[in-house]
Amino acid sequence: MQRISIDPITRLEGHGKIEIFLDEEGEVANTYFQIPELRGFERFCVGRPVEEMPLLTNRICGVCPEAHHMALPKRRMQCTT
Amino acid sequence: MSEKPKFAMYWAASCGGCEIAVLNVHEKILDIDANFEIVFWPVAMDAKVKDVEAMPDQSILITLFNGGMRNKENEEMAHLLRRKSQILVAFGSCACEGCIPGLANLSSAQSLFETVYHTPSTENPQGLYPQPQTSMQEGELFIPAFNPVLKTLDQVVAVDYYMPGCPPESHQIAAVIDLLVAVLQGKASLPARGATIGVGMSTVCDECPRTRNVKKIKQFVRIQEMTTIDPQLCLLEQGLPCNGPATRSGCSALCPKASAPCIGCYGPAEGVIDYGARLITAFSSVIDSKDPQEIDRILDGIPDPAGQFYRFSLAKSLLRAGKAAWKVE
Amino acid sequence: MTENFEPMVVGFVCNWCSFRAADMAGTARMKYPANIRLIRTMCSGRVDPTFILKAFASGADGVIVMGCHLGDCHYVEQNYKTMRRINLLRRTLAQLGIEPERLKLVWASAAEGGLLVEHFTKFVEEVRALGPLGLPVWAGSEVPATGELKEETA
Repeated sequence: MQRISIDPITRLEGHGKIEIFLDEEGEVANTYFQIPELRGFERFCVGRPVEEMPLLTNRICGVCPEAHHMALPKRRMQCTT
Repeated sequence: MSEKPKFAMYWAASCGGCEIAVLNVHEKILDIDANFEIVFWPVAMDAKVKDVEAMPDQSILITLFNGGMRNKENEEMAHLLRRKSQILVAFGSCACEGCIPGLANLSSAQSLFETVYHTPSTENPQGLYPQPQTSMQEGELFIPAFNPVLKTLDQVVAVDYYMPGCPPESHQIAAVIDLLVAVLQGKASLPARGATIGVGMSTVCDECPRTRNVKKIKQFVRIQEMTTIDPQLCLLEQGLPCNGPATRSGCSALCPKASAPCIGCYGPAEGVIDYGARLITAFSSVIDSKDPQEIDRILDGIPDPAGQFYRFSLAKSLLRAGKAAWKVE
Repeated sequence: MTENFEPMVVGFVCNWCSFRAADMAGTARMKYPANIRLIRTMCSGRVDPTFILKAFASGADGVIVMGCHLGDCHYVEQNYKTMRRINLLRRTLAQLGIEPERLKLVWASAAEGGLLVEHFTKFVEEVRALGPLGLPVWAGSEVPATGELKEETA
């Protein structure tokens, strides 16, 4: 079975690779999309003071930090109202 | 036609903010294009890892490497780009000192996986975790093994220059681009290897316009406890834990100017070995109390000292990680 | 667990009180455990948290800092700063999973050789009970030497 590797995927934010498997006719038998990255924000944000959250979560993504930053005050408002 | 020197930029365990900071130099990006041949920059162009592997060693003049060393692929890319590059720059806080993802070093890799793959919004009924090797019907699939702690770039390969900041300010990046172009034209020379570039030589306090008096801190407050923030007075004197005293200058003190205490994203000032230790000593020196109980009360105003003092620099600190993560391969 | 664990303890002693107390203990042939290696600074206020962290990072299982009694500091008030520093450092170490009991701050005057011996002996036993710190020697912490930068750039 022929195998085509696209590593890394480019021109977007983030890490990814794609493995494409071709059958004997050259048709795509299966494709796998893999994400070779993990930083663990879900874990290390736990235990930090609430006012730290926007500073931490906006480092999830440097292209869309504003979205992650604004999600925190909105969530906090939901918690306190 | 003379060949332009080769330029590369790569991201390891990062957020992409450093790439955005480089693109935020606006028209100056044309100077990079005019003076360099960009051979590898995943966010911006479609070169593959195997293209880099095929290049002769030391054929890339300069590589800006951002992101921390979180898994084996990050380390392999660091080794690869070190071989292929004459100059390797640890670009941004992640590569220089671990940055925010370094806080994962307070937990074990096991607890990271347990949390990430069992969040309230994660559907994982079989309790699966990613494996370095998975057998599928068509063949074997590989993803990089996860390291027990996050490391900085210079804990894995030799680094030529450091450019800290989360992200490095675009005006500093523009200045470094100007320097590189001048070096190519023979009009300037690079600083000694191992230098930190794109930074000032002092601390954020020197760039901060606020009025500073002799410090006699009677309390630390959390920012949401402040009803008003005096726009002229030093934030530390108002009780806000501001990391300015130990943080390297170069960012032009953007945060304190906006009444946000410095969080320390530009890394340690010149000559500082352990950033958190310097902040601990700075804060301790200016607390105005001799009574142990009062001191305890004042220090209770910093509920998360590890996060406050090692927010960006845990991976580069002397201890590097909390005990939960002390498992070496 | 290691039955024959001998704690490695670093002791920071200030020149004017505690080091003289250590001297006095030596002159009077008072014994204290050899587990403690002393480092003399001019004042306990000179003990930067960096030194303490470096001690732990280099293999110490415990660190003891000894200074002049409060109010008796040779440099007037610096031991109060030491008190605040050690407090804040212990809080930070606790979050890093290092028992705050591994870092101790005690006071002794130059005449109190006996008290110094008492403090040191007690602390070694406290660290022995805590067990080895167990900090790994980080693999790859030595950065390899860089190659020479090529002169030709274009």
